Amino acid sequence: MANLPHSVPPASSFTPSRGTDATSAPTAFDDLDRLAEPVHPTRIDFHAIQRSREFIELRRKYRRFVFPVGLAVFCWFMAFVLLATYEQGFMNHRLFGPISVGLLLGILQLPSAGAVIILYRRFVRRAIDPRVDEIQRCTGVVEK
Amino acid sequence: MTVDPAVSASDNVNVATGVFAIFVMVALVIVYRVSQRRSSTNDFYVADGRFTGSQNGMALVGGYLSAASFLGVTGAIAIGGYSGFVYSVGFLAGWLINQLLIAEPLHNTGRFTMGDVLSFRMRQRPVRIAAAISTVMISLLSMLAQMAGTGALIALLLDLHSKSTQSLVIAGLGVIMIIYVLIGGMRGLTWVQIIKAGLLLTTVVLIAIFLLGKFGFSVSLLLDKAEDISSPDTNILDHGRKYSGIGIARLDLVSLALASVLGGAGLPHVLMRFYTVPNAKEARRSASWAVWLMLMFLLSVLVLGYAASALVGSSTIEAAPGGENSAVPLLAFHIGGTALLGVVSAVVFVTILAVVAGLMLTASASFSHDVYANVFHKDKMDTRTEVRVARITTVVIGVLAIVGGVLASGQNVAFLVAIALACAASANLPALLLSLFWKRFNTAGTLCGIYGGLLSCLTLVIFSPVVSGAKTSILPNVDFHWFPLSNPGIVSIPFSLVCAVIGTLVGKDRPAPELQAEMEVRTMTGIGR
Repeated sequence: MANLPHSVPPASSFTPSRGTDATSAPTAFDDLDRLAEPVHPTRIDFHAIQRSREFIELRRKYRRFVFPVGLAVFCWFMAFVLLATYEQGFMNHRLFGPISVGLLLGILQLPSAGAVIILYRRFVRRAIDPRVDEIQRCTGVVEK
Repeated sequence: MTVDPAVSASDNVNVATGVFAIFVMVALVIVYRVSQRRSSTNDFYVADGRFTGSQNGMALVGGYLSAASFLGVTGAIAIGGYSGFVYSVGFLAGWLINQLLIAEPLHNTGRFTMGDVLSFRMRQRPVRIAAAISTVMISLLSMLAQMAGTGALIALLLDLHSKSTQSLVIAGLGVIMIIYVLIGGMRGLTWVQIIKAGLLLTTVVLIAIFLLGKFGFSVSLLLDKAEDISSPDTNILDHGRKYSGIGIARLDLVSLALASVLGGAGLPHVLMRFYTVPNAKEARRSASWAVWLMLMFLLSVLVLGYAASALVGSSTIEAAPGGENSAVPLLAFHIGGTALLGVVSAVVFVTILAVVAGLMLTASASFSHDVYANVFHKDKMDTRTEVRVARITTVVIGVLAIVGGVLASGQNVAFLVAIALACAASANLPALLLSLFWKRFNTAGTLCGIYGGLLSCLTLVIFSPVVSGAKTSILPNVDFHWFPLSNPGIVSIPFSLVCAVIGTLVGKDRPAPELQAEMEVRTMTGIGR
């Protein structure tokens, strides 16, 4: 993963054919506001984006981070619950002073949550945001 | 050491009423000032997406933390020691799942409701109806739990035991919530939730710091004290006896924990908040802020819980009228007398207000947007009519909550929260995640997932000891229970997941490939939103 080129090659596969359709111009701003999701702007070629190398790379990077980490968070918490419920002897074992294994593992849940947030934010800043910006730029979408 | 809040009830009622009245007035002024004269749907449902990540993070916590979680979590720690953490860290894990998998994709694909995302590439009508049924049901269950629980809290905190006074307070709270939502919509509600979060967090953090100071900022002294005061068989540093029952009781706890993690990431009123920010990055920031604030809250509550055990005593708390819910009031009275008890009581009622108002808006938005506008009156309704329908729905749902709350007041309603969480975890989360991340997922799968989750939850609860066959059941005199657990999550969550997958494979419909492409691209990049 780390050996992959960091910069994304310029996208040639996008076909931003905006402005070509002249369908259903809303008559009032009220109705524009009301348009129920999903709005399907035919002017953006989502198929082209979806099939582009940049998007596939973005999706792969994203999923390879969030799925395992999400699963790990879930397992880390459920491990605590299962130990607290079924392995009381182990959890009641005193480590030092008044601190038992259960108390330590319980308190560790808090910093580990903070660590996940920091890791995730760093990951998206480095690996996701630049790729999203690149794809948005290539399709001519300006972020609000 | 036997402090009873009842002894000096009138003083604390005055303080509580005073603090609460100030909050209500300040919030009302703010709600009025921020409200828009001619509200559009975009304004009424999601405040035009104008809030920043930090504001929304505060509001997320304000809308999420209920009175039950404040009082119950502290009490669980005071009585059960580390085993009491199970509830609180469950919230935390749920919020991490929100951060990793939900916040940004949801913001990118939807606009107002959970139904927007679920129906994106599916057949609109049936999926929106299913999403609305699930949203309204989960919200109503949570609302009923909060409102009915209010009666018990009035008795516990203010020592007002007369049924008519309790009903009056419940109705009064309900009316204030309805007014906030009607006047301010999401914009006003968000500010109410922000102020509430600020008030709740400030209170618990200050009390925690004060308590630590009382123990010379020595955590080990605090823990030692907590240990000393507990009788040998309920040594708080070890496992509390409460959860160390037979096999079934243990499995029940695991089931509850499962629902609290996965339900926290599927609660409609939490999901809706991710639309109130302008872009995916702010949605991401909201979730991070929420986690940091939750960490602050949990750390403080941890101190409160152990200090309650050290100063008041675990057995005293357990024997008090409100059980573990009395840990906070007893502790507050112990360290700050009636004044602090009054402040804490006011904070609890503010908490109820902010949470239920959020549920109210979510339920009415789901009905008016998903059902009324998109199913009954497709293409025929303008935004102002939709907002009017949402307002009327708010009043109807609010009145339902008041009536239900008054009728169910005094009943044991804690299980309702657990059911709402289990429903959210089984009906919403699997469908939502599969919809966002599984290409093949289709209408049949969505419907099977949502209805499978809802029906399995309800069926299992009806045939559980919650309803019949035990002394604490709703119907203690009959016994038709065959499901041993009070918390259905451990069965209903996998069941709905299996339903969703089988439904997808069996169902004939294939979502339109262009919609799938659009949704996938939007999920990741926000292009087209």
